[in-house]
Parts: sequence; structure tokens; C-alpha cells
Amino acid sequence: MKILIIEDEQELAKSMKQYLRQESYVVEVAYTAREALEKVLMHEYDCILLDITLPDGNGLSILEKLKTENKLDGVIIVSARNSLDDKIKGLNLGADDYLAKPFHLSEMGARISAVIRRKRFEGNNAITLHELTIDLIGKVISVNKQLVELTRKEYDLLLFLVSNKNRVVSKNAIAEHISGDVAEVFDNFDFIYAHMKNLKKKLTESGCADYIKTVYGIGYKFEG
Amino acid sequence: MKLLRRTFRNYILYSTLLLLVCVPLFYFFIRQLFIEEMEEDLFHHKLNFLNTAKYIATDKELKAYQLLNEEFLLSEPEQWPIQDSLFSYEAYDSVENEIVPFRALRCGITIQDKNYQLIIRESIVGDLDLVERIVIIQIGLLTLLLTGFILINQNLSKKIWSPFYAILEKLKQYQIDKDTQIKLPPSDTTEFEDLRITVEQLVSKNRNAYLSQKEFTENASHELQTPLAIFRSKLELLMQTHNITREQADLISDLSNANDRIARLNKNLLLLSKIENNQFPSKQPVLLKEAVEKTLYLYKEKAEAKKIKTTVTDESETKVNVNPTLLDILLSNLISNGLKHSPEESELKIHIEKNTLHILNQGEPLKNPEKLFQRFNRESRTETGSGLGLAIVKEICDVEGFKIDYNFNGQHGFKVTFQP
Repeated sequence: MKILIIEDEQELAKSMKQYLRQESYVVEVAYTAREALEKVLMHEYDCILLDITLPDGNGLSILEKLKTENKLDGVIIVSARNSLDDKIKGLNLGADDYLAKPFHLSEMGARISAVIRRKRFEGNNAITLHELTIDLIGKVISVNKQLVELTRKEYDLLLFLVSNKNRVVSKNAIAEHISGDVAEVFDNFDFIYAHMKNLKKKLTESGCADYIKTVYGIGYKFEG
Repeated sequence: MKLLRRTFRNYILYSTLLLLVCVPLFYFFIRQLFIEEMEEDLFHHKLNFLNTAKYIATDKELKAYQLLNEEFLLSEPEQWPIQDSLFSYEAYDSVENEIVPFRALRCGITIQDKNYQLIIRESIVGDLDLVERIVIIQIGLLTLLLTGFILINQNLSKKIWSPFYAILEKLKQYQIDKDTQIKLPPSDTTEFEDLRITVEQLVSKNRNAYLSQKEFTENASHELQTPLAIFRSKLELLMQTHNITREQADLISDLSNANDRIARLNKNLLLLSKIENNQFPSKQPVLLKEAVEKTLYLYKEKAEAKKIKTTVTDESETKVNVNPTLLDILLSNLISNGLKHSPEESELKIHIEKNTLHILNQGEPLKNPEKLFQRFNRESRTETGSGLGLAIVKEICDVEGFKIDYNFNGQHGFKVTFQP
């Protein structure tokens, strides 16, 4: 699977590339709009991460170019502006998703995997890992073909971990992913521990192996 | 009061005053002139009489003369000599067939060595009629003149001022965040043309200032968000490395939490400057109760974690005309503030009355309630918030024209008064 990162901040691009490489993606990086245009016109990518504030041209113009070339599929806009204008403009032009800086790499991982799944299987898909199956349409999971009742938060949590499988996901990233802006009201991460405890209990009780590992002090990791 | 009306009011006041003062003055002045003229006539008549009297020889002739000339009244003098004197009186007039005013001259004359008192009289009714008619015509003329003057002025003013009103209308409709430039109609009048050019320049300068401010916000955001993103990403990569000791894990976790706080602080600072810059201008009516319940739902888990009971009461079905994003932030910040500072197993009460929202929660009284809405004012340093939540609430109230009050009456009470 090929991913293109269009990002002028070399250090950030490096981090993104390094994180994604762990998930057997082929990652290419373009630091300028010119470089990016050359790459997108020559190659096909499953997902393009596009920073719309590039030094040599607005990233939105790349988006427009992609649209005329009919290569819009799988574009995730990355922006530090966090301004509504850009988000609306970008999504109106046909981008798939929008990621505001500063983002967690695990959040990026989840978004990329969602975009790719949507694109590859045209939305009609499920993730199967050994005895565990996640039905992305029905938003339900089953273990050994037996449905397991999960709350919405537990489902989100599981999908988030699975989308970043074999990588450590911090509790900060989890808090922001499942609670959004509300996360800041929580003085601690107790609410995550509670959800996680319930999720793990439901999975093991239904006969699923304990894939979710606790990483001391930092977060969790889905090992599958 | 409108400019035109103000001008007209002055014109009309002046005209009415002129009419009220001048017409009586004119009347008395003309009347006086007539009477003076008549008095001269009376003396003239006396001379005529004296000239004619020479030819009267007998009493019979005198009698005949008197009968022919009714205005001459001869009688026995009550005293002698008689001084010439003028006087007015009213008497029956056979021509007019009514009692009419007369002006008369009393004098003494001698006919054939005999002394007489002579009264020469003249009816002034005809002259007064004339004066009245003249005055009526004058009033008519003045009124016509004034009406015409006002009408012409009104039309002219409207025409002359029309570019001004056109400019005003365009300015009213202009929205700095939506319209790129302002197009004003040109005018032949130098002053309005000057005004138009000045206004256009002012607007374009303001627009540029607005854009550069907006750009600065975006730039500041970009400059800070990117290093924050790099820092966060490196931390996450560090988490992926193997053989992390417990000590290192704790350090990474602390770094991660601090990074979250910086990110949140930066986000709130940006939000604050965006609200200040009026970057949330569009408004729509929102049912307050629905918005409150929606926000409460987001904080349901937090409330449950602290076993805080939340209640919403609404008696008014209040609808608020507001930017929906700003209302969400306002409610979010107030509710999260309430939940954060409530003790466990307490109650957070939200009460909606006509155009007001009350949020009540338990807790200890504040040490410095007057500093509550100030930026970075925190009662205790242990809190994890950005210190901007209530400052943002205040800023939203300012830009939306709401009023926010805080009081402590056994419990913390926030009251937001919306515009009626």
C-alpha cells in the first residue's frame, strides 16, 4: 500500500513516515508543492496526506489539481490552521478527511486505515484478526462468529487500537480520540481505564485471546 | 430625527413665527396708515366747509346744506372756544344699515357771527374691510410662498442628499468578513464625491487590516502548531521503542500530559483571538434547551464519574439568535467548569427562564470572584485547565451582546442574559 506525505516540515514528515512504515506501508514524502505535483501525476497512491500550508503554494491548489486529474480519492488534509474555512473548502473540493495539527500519530494511523479500507473495499468491509471480526458497516464485533455486545465507546476504542495494531497507543491519544474536546475536563485517565477494563473483560469472556497489552505508564498496544 | 426633517422643522418654525408676527403687525400698520389718511381728509373737509360756509347766508340755506351733507353735524356749542379734536365712536349708518365705527373731528366754527360746534365724521368700515382683505390676500400669498418653498426644498434636498443616503445604505450592508470591497455610487456634488472616496479608502484599509490580523492569527497558529505536532510525534515514536524502563515510561507520560496542556492552551488562545476578531459572524435561532441537553450529553460520562446529578428545567422555550459554534463553546465551558469544580455526589442545576440561563453548582466560595473572567486567573495551581475557559465565555458574551453574571449564594451561580 502506497502513501504519500506532502509536508514541508521535514521533522514532522520524518515522524509520520517512521510511524507508518511500522505498518507495512510504502511511504513517500514530498516537501514542496512542486515535488508533490510531480509525484501525484506520476504515481498512484492509496492515500495522500496533504499539508495545505506549503511554502511554495497553497496545498488547496494541489487538491484542485488532483481533482482535475481525478485522483482525489484518499486525500486527507493536514492543516495547522484549524480554521473552519480550510476544512470546508477542502472537504468541498472532495478531500476524504481533515486532520488538525498537532495530531497524535495514532490518530493519523486510524484515519489512514479508515480511508484505505473505504477505498479498497468500497466501504463494504470487515477486519478479521484470528477469531476477532470487526464489522465496520454494522459497527459490531464478533468473536468466533459470535456477536459481542460492546458500547459505542468500547467499539471506538477497539477499532482505534486495531487500526494502530502492534504500535503503542498513548492514553492521551485514546482520550482525545474517544472524547474529543471533552477530554480536557477529565483530571485523569480513569475513564479510559474503566472502558478498557470492560472491553478486555468482554473480549476474554467471549473466548478471544488477550491481544490488548497494557504498556506501563504510557498506554496500550494491540498485538495481533 | 432625520436630517431632512430637522431642516424642515426649522423652516416651518421660522415661517410660522414670521406669519404669526408679521400678519398682525402688518394689519395694525396698514390700519394706522388708513386712519391717518382719513384724519387728513377730515381736516380737509373742515377747510372745504369753511370755504363753502361763506356762501351760506340764511339759516335756511344752512339747514339745506346740512341735509345734503350728512357728514357735517352742526350743533350749539356747549362751551366756547372749541379746540380741534379727533375721536372715534360708533353710530347707526343708514347706508350700511347697521351700527358702524366712525372717526370724527370736532371743531368750532363761526357762521354769520354765530358760534357752532361742527363734527365732521367719516365711516371707517369700508377702509377696515379693505385692510382685512389686504391682510387675507397677504396671508394667502405668504402661505403659498412657504408651501412652495418647503415643497421645492424637500424635493431638492432629497435629490441632493440621495448620494449620501445611498452611501449610508451600502455601508450598513457592508460586512467586512464577507464582502471583498465596497462599491459606492459616484456623485456630482464635490462633498459627496469626497465622502465616497474617503469611505472607500477607509473600508479598503480596514479590510486589509482585518485580513492581516486574520492572517497573523493563522500564522501564529501555524508557527506554534507545527513544533507542537513535531514534539508530539517524536514522543509517540519514543513510546514505540523497546525496553522502556518504568522510570522512562513515567517521564514520557508526564511529557505527553504537558504537551497536551500546551496544545490545549494554544488552541484556546487561538479560539479567543478568533472570537475577538469576530470570525464567527453568522447567526441563527437556536432552541436553548436543545443546545444545553446536547452539551450535557457530551459531559454525561464525566458527570457520572463524579456522581454528579444534572438537571435541566425550562419554562420559556427560549430561542437565542446566536452563532451555533459559539453557543456550543459557551455552554461547554460553563458546564465543564461547573462539573470540574463540583464536589462528588453533588448536583449541577441548569435553569432556563425567558432569555436567561442559570447554571448552579455546589462548591467553596471563591477567594477573588472579581477576577473570575480574567485570563489565566486560577484559584488553584493544581488545576489542569488552560485558565481560558471563562475568559472565552466572557468574550463570547461580549461579541454576541449577552450579559454574564456570577454570584455566590450558598452555591456558585452563573447567569447568562441573552438579548430579548
